[in-house]
Amino acid sequence: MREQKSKWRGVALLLGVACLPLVATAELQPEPIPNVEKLDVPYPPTYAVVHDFAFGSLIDSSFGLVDTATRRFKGMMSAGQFATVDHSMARQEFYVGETLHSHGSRGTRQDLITVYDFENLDVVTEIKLPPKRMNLVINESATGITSDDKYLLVLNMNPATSVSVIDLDKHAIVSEIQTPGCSLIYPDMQGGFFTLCGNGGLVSIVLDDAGQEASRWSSDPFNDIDNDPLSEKSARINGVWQFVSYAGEVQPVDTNGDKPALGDRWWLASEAERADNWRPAGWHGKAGHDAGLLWVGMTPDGYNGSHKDPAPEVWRFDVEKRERVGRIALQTPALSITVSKGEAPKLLVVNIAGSLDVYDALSGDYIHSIHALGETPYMVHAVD
Amino acid sequence: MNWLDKLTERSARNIAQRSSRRGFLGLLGATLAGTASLPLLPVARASSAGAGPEVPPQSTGNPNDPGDPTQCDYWRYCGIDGFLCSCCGGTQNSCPPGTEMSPLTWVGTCRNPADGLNYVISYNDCCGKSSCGRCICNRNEDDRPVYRPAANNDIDWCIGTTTNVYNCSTAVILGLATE
Repeated sequence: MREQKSKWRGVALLLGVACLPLVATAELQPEPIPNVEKLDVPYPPTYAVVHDFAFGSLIDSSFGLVDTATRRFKGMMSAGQFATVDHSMARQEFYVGETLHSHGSRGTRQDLITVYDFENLDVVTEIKLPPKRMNLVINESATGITSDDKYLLVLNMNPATSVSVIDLDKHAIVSEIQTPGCSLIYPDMQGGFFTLCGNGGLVSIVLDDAGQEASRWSSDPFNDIDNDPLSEKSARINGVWQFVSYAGEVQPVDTNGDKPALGDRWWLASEAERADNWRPAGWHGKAGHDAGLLWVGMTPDGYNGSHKDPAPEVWRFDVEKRERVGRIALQTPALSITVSKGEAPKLLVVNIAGSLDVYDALSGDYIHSIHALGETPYMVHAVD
Repeated sequence: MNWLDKLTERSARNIAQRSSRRGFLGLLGATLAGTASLPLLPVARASSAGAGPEVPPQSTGNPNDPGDPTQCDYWRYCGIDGFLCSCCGGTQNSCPPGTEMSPLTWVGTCRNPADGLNYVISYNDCCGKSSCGRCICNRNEDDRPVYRPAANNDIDWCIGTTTNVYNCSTAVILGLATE
């Protein structure tokens, strides 16, 4: 038997040698070293950034760029702890806020906005911040870009709160605006922003052409923080920030005028559904689209403290009619959601298993998933 | 049955009852959802068992301070978010060796089941080493948004320390809460 096998092996070898000249034309060529990819720009409207918070090693977080249509991982940006990300389509740049220390977990603290270009995902420049940028578990409102695309705004806390204003043409800080008793950044439609305050009111800031504070206005308290606070995780639709309370009441704040205007409140869930404990949920469970649609992650297991729980459903609302127009039972509960722009918007869901699920945002149909996106991916941003 | 187990069971049961189209994945998700409210993804989930048999039990030794400080359902942890220092070389009220306790913090009010009294609890972070990674615990009773920072547990409270690198969280009694 062994002899027979050996004979066949010999025949195979001869055949192989005989075939060599035939395959020579398909010989693989030497390949260049080094060889680093570039990305085609502008990006297709299907790209998204997934934020890996890296809870188990906070000083080494990252942002993965994925194509939600092809499921391809396109590249990443490495970051320090408690990072943020913003982007400008006009400038084709990402702005990563990060806190680093010169010896890893020790040494001199360095707070930066690190600027990356879309084409190379490479560092264009580092903007040094005062070492007090607010270190916060992923929160979209820790930073913001003004509606005129001129300034990046960065929240500070030491523990006094303020906002650094960065000129995106100069890549430099041009002012620091004190916001005592108030936190977080909600850009308005006039090139300024407002911030929410611990007394239940808001303060809006007007910026001048040099990025300096021109004026400010304080509202009366409207937010019952003790009994049913407005979640700071909000979505903007046509210049109107849609805040949702822990219990599920919507408070629109319209920033299209000279100063923010409070809209009428309305409830996401019916009285019967609220009695069944349906409440808003998700780490960041709101998303908006300028077609007048709001998506909110919901849980049927509401209780005091459920406001950051995963959301097994996402409900879609028409904010003009103030009514629910869709209900999506997710394949896997959501931590965070966002919705892409355009006429065929996609609902992007970072789920509790750490994958990114893509749904048709209008029909609710599940499309596909992208897996292996880091240690603790908590958040997704559409890049469009 | 602890708080996490109850939540796990409740989530799984509710989702299973509510939706017929969910298969194994949905139930798996519900189970994961119940492990804790803060995103317990692969690595964090593995360590979350701090609330589990992997971590040897501890006791304060004081019958008036009941429970296991390595468990997320220990009474003082009603507003905690992070890695439990009891699993990281510290205790419920002390930091691990070589770290630095933040002087600034957020506070919660928790009810002690032994005496039925409400106590103000200070959740001082321990700082200067990277994530402990053990016994993650996130409870959000009475947690308020970031714009009320003293009642918010999303903030890295390693403020006023040599570095603001976060290691773990303690739960220190400040005193009785006054109504």
